[in-house]
Amino acid sequence: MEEQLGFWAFSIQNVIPRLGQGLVITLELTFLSAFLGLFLGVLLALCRISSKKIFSLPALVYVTTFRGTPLLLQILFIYFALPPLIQIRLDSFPSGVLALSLNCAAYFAEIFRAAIESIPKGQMEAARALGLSYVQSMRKVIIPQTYRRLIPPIVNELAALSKDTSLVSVIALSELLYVTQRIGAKYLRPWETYLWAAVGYLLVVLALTTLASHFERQLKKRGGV
Amino acid sequence: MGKIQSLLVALVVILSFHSTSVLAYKHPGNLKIAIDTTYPPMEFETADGKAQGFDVDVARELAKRLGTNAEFIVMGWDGILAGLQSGRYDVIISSMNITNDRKKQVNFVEYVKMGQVFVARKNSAPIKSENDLVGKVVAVQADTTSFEAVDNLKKKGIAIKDIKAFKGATDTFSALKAFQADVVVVDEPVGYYYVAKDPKSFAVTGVALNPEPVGVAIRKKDQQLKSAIEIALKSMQKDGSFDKISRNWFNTKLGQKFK
Amino acid sequence: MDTPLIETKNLSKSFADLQVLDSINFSVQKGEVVVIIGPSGSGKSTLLRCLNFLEAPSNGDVLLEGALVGMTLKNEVRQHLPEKILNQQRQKLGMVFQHFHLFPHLTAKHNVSLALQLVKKMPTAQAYQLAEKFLDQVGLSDKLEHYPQNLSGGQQQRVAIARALAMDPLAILFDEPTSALDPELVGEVLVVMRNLAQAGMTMVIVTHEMGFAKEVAHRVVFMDEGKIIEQGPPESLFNHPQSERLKSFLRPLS
Repeated sequence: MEEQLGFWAFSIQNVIPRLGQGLVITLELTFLSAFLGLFLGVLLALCRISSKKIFSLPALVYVTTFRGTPLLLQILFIYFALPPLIQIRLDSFPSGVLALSLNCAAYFAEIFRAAIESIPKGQMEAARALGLSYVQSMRKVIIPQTYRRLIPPIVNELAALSKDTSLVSVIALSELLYVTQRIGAKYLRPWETYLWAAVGYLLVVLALTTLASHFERQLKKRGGV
Repeated sequence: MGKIQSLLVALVVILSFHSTSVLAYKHPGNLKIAIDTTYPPMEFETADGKAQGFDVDVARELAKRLGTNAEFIVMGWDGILAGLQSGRYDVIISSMNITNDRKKQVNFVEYVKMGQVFVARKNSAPIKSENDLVGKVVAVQADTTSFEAVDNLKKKGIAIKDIKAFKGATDTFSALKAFQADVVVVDEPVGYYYVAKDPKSFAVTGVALNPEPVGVAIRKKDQQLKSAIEIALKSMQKDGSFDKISRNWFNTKLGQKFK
Repeated sequence: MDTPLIETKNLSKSFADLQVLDSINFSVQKGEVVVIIGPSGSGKSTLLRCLNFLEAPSNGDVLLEGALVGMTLKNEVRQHLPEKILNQQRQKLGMVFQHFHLFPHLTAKHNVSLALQLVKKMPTAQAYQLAEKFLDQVGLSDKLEHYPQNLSGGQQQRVAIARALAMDPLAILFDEPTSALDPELVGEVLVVMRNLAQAGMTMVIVTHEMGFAKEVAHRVVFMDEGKIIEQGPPESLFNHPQSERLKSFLRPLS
């Protein structure tokens, strides 16, 4: 019969290694979904501000739907409801990435849209008056001015995303929270289990915010806006 | 008094003391019982959130015999033991298998034996035995003996494609239906319940585990409560009320081997 | 008479229910400096912004070198020109704004060279050279690598003029170029504008600077409530106003 291990012995032997594995999955979920979500978010934002209804209307529907329904519901839908519906079966990790990407893309879209619309109208007018096309004006004048003001809201959303990954535990993916719950159920030592899980999530958010400060400083150095 | 008389008196006193001590066990307040309601027909909820099921009926009768009322606390399975240890409720009556690991942490009073079955999709390859699990995705409820059984099979060398352990037992059936898993391993009565509910989708195709003991979980320090429950269960089995509950919920007697 | 460089025919513009321009017939000859004055709300800025199609007219035509701007006549039906062609037309008209609208993320040099590279497809080295030349012309050769936030208002506006000049436009439109400047900075901008005028640049200027108008303008146009009320050489307009509205507009200024 095993005797009760002390805090550090138990943590190092039973908790930290397994949580570490879960943390790796959490990081993969976070970065993959963030990357895809940012990309899709930019496209959606440009559609949202387009004057052509064929672009702006579907984008509005998309953003409203994905921001207006719970992420958990979206995960469950993709994992349980889609396969019988459209004959496409995604396993836990791809389902999680898909749900997280589609969801955060909606938030990123609004962040980008707000940033673009916060640039004074005169900037676009000056660019167009010089003969620049709409695309040139966006690429060279408007969008570069949004970079610095994008960083805080994007970091915010990324921090939220990194914690939202815990919802993917409901479709049996061994990310950090799932592993935490399994260890918790097995050993009945909640203090060590939950403490190190919290540390794990904190590390992710700390990494993100450090990266963000770095970018902000780089942009400041380049001068201008 | 003579020696025999004193002995008789002593015997009567001892006997009556024993019985009065049980009858005198007054459970303080309601008997708080934890259940994981993702497990029909053992424990589940009505549409308006009321607890029902085989375990629920057993628990209600048990509480009555302890001279009090049953109060049910719904808990996720992964936290149900921790909740007992931290004093949130008095017992767990939720089809919990008695295992050596669990016996290290809590005491049990056995009340039934249950086997586990394979449930597969109606029109796909039937899973009759553990060898049929090769290349298949198995869905089980997390932190259960079902999970450990399948995990051990995998460790033994049976090339199971993947084991998906979900939070609730209901999720395993959703996964099966959604083609996210090929077979579910679950307690007999639950398997039969889902097949009866959705015979077009599911079928019980084989025995996964032979019947194993299932018990009421009680904190180690609650010795008096344990004794009281043991006595109450014995009396339920003796006077037929246990069988009545069984027949109410199951057509077959629980714990029989699959034909 | 030569074809006017810029011309409007029955130009009207409404925003929702509000009519801002009412059938304006306006023309500018090559080399002319035209100053437009009038009370706020008279439509002066709107007229200017219609000339390079920053505002699309509700009715009427804008012509540049005799050709329709922003629109085309196809089988007697007016249609909007494709963006590509409109961009080309806009190159020919420079614009200087009241609030400068310099690109804050670019240096002065890059502000001037950007359109040269993107629109005229000039190679980088040549674009930079040209930028330096025009910044020198407006007296800012020592501010090439400065960002707009490190320049005074007057300096920013001069960069804006250089930016417009660099595109070698047929004419430059000025929309209240000194209205947002501190009084002591107005002079340096007016000097640059006067030099341009003397060099023969066609200019259409909306301004409140009457002194400048008297000195530099060939013609002054007085607008009120979306119509041109009076126009003529500065001496006649300022010293012998004909209409009552012009008289009451000039009264507080005399």
